Amino acid sequence: MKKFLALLLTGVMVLSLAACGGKKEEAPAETPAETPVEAPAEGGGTIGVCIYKFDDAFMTTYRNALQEILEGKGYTVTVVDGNNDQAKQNEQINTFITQGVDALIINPVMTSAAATIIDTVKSANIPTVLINREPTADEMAAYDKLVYVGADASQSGTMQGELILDTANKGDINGDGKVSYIMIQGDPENIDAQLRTEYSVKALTDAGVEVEQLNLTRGDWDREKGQTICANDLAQFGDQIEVVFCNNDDMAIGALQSIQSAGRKVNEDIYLVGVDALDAALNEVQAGNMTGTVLNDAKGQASQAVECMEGLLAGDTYAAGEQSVYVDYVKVTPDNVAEFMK
Amino acid sequence: MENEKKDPRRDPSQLNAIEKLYEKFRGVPLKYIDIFIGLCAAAFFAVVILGMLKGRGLL
Amino acid sequence: MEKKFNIKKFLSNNAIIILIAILALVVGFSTQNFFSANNLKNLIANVSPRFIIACGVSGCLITKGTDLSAGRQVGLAACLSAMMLQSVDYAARMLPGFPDIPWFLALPIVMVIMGCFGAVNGCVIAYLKVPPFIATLGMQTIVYGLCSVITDNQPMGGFKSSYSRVALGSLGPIPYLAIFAIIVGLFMWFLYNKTRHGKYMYAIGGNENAAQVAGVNVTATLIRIYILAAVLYGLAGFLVGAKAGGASTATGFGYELEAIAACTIGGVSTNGGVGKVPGILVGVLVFEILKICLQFLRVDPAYTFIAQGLVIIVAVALDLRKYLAKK
Repeated sequence: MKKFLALLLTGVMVLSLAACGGKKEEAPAETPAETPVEAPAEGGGTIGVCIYKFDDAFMTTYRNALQEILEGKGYTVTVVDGNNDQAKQNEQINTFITQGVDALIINPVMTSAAATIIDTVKSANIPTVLINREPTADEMAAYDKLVYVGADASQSGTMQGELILDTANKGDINGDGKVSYIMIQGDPENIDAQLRTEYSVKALTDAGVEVEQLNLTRGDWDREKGQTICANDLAQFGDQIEVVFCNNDDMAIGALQSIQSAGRKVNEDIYLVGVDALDAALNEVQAGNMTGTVLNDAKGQASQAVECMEGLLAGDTYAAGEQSVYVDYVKVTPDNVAEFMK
Repeated sequence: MENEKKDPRRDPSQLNAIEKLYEKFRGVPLKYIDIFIGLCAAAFFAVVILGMLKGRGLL
Repeated sequence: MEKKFNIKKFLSNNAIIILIAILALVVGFSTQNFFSANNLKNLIANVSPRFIIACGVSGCLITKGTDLSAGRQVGLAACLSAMMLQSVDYAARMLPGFPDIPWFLALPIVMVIMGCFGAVNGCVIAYLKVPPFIATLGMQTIVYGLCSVITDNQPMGGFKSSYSRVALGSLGPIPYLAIFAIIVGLFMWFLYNKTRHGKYMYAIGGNENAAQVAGVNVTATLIRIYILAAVLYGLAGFLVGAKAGGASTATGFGYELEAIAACTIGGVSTNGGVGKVPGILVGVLVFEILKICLQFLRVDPAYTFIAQGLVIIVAVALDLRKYLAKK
């Protein structure tokens, strides 16, 4: 019976295939069938958005901004969750292509797998904007209706370092001539994690400050991990820690919990910086519980992404080597934090 | 050859973890399970429709 | 009276398939491009590796065991394949000194390596009599740990084009992935229906003690089952890696849940001793069609998780019902 049903199901699909005149591919075997892409309707059009993981705090702000902007302009938007699985995201991209979307905005799960994504969208000839996770320029050069919109990750790191330099004692609370810090890292694949880790410290050393890294641990951008890691480091190094660098706010807020339960006070005997300017972090900066954060301008990047997408839809192409569009980060300190709060 | 008597409760040593779980429902009449399944199926369609509405921003 | 019984039984056996068939028809007629060659091709490509994984798990399920390490094994296999098949001039090559080998050489190597893990699973379960749930749960963590160590948690990409083509190319209208799946399907069907191993497997699933008494070498059969499962995960991992264009320690996470659910939907139940290959295919089809439908319907992602979860719950509930009704 089951076999019959399975046959029936497939039969229905095949029949409808014939009835609806599905395109049989004549193109060479490797490329997927080219579905006819209609010219985008004036002021409307379907856009497919692929997010790498929905429970990423920053991407939530980003995709909400994207959806708002796109729908405000009259586009029909569908957003899907890759659930941190590149194979799944590729399947979602293929389905979008089959559905016949006019453009794609993709936040790759693995930048190392970007070549396949670019290959797929290129053969379907769909204008694509990559966001937030940047592939290499070489990979992007393969397709001209492709652009990356993001922020220059090294800038966020530098700003973190500057936040520490801007403090009264330039991070050296105990006056021993060097800044001893712990680094709580995102996930090492992400170029943001690598660059923030590197440039935050570089800003200090470039200014002539001597630094000492007590520990570097991977926190996967996760608040809970940030809390556990900081707690462990505080237990191990105690007062030696002068600065806690976190690659993002989520981990910083987690770290803040453990700092407070260890009886330390931020901005008095320890400094804490993150990146993203999440609402929760802005609160803490205002309350004096975080030294500062760096605004990863989700709204700005979303606007820019939509702008580039509309350009692509109108026929723009990007030459190799010019396919990255960067939006600036913004330093957030207790002085200007009020501007960013809603 | 095993004994002829049909024993509704199988020898515990033969059951795996999932079957031990299933045995706990031994007392529940089939009707209730059917109702549960029916509810889940209805919930499934409800969720799909709700999800569609939410996805189009109508919710 | 007879009619009522038939309908109930029919529904009980096929409820989920009917559910999804209805959904698919609705989606097909209310959206564009659902019934299309492209969509069918995507569906086949999505189903193929999942089907292979489900076939692997099915042996464990039929003998009243389980294999929770499936997902992580797929991940490890994908990473191993990745390490061996990266393009030689890729800047971030994982093993810079590694020779440039063709994919059909890397694949058997991966399958053999994964087979060893399967052997460990099988031995622990068959000799040490550790419940499969626990044994494979432990293996899951071990495999994940090993994968982390081997890859240093660096995601890998930059594959040779010949490797990528395995997942993206087709022989005429048939994707290569489907060819792998078909071969596995035929092999499994033959194994389950025409060999002694298959008979032993069903016997053990039906009643392990009776099978033992009847002279079945339970230990050897179980070990073979888990080795075969692992070898299939190896193949699936190899394909998933190519399909994704990259592999990392996160690859394959959670795949066993869907594989087991697909088997359950397809008739491989915890009652043990039953399960047919076409059923497994149907189970996998149900899930993949469901996923495509949900995207075509533009369902909000949070709700897709709930919907998929409900399908799994209904599958388990139906299985429970069958179990209780049987006695």
